[in-house]
Amino acid sequence: MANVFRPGSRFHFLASAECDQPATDIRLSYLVFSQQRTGSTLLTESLVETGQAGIPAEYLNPDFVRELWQRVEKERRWSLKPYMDYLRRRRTTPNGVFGFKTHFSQLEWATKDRERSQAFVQRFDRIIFSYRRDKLAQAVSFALAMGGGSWFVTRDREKRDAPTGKADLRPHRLLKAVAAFMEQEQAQRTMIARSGRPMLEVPYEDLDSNFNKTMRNVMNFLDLPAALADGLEPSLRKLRDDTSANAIEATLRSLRDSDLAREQP
Amino acid sequence: MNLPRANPATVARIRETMSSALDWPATPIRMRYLLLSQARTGGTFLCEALSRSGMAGVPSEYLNPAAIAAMAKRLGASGGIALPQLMQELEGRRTTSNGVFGLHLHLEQLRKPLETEERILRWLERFDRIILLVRRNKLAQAVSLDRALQTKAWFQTADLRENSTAPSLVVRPATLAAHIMRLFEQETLMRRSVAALGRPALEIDYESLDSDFASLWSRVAEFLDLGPIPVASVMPDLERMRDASNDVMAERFIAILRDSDLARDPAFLRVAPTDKGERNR
Repeated sequence: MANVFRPGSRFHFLASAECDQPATDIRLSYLVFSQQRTGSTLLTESLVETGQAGIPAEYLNPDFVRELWQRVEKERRWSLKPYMDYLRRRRTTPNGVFGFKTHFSQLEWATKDRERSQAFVQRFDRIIFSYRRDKLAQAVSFALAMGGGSWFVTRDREKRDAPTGKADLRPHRLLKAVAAFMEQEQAQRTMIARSGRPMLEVPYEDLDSNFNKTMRNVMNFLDLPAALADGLEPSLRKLRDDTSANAIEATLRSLRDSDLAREQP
Repeated sequence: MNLPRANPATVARIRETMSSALDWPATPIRMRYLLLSQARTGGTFLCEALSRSGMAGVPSEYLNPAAIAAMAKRLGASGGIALPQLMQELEGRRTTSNGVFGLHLHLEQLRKPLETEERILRWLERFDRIILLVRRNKLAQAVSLDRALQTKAWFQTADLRENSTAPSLVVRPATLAAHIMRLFEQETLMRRSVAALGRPALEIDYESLDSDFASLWSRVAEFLDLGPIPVASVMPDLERMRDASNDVMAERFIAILRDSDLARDPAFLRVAPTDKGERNR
């Protein structure tokens, strides 16, 4: 079976045996519980870079699941439990830290059931909640990524592109995404509260405006040396640009005058 | 779109609308027109004016489930009433003596009986003219809709206003976003349907109805060949429901759209009742 990710790409690397670790007892497990376009990849890439915070990749991304599972278990059909067993065994850094990132939608895809999702969240000792306060900007970013843009661009200009297409920035599409992100955030906060686990909120806006301070907070939360954050530099390039700003302004205008967004019959 | 849950005043009004008091003697129909609109666009206000003219049928939201149920009850149809029979009954009773029949419709009201867009279009071919009523300010429309869903009050008269207390409202950001999304989608579908039908069509908007009803009335009357009918003679008894609370809800929704942390403050989500004195008209 062919690789899902392009050899040499960041996701290919993260799913590869190169990232496997010697089996180690877990002393702290944490979950980065996120949504699309909240800066969670920047956050987890930075955590990986410290070498002491586990390898918190997007393990429930369906493409990631395929890539990793076909490498380690060619014969067995994928299911969540053996997959998690493998990850806990091979993706814990030698200091006993296991990190895992999932978007809410990916968790729902993997468990197919809210109660199972809840039980999954409760397996972790601590939870980092990655969200974005500006939901309209998040929706625009999501639409641009889905419409043939990039999910991320690394410092080395490696891109992870979405399928080609045209970004759909029509107001109703953006508002649909806004509603979904708002509902997801509500569900995530409820799940985290029910879990009773310590939580650290990491809004995109904090990561964007003060990266090192935010990363220091994250290190403190994970009982890791805060100094690890000082040497970090954002590993991904910011994708937000004039297109995003213009789309936001156009949407706000069309909410009050839909004629501005009129579609031809 | 959620089906409206009605308060007693709405139930009473629907009963009145469907009662024999508004019936006309059976008359051959020479012109059928459709008022195609969405919730919270001023459609009921316009229908009231058209009915008062005595020349434009008795247009109403007859395919609203509550209206269908009221008509079925009136006819003693305990098992409900099928669309063809309902239309036959309505056309026999609600055509003015000049042969004009009007129907006020939200497209989604045809979704259940006719299911597909193609069947809906075929059904709509019976209408000779179409008035398309939209609201350009979708945010205000969504706020108005959510306010009606929260209070169960879908219209207001002077009597109701005098006997009511200003409502306590809550800003529901995800719900408002979903309303706006659906309102945009519905408008697109309405426009597509009107274009596909190819009938003479008049497009009007809530904003014109709200700001200068006299001018809008002239355009509608001309489009339906009603002749000169003074606007004063058709002015409905319905009042505008929008007040300062609507503006607060809209502004807070926009603020939350840009900073969802605001939605975590219950005090920010609660909209205190406004003084009656702040209400317009």
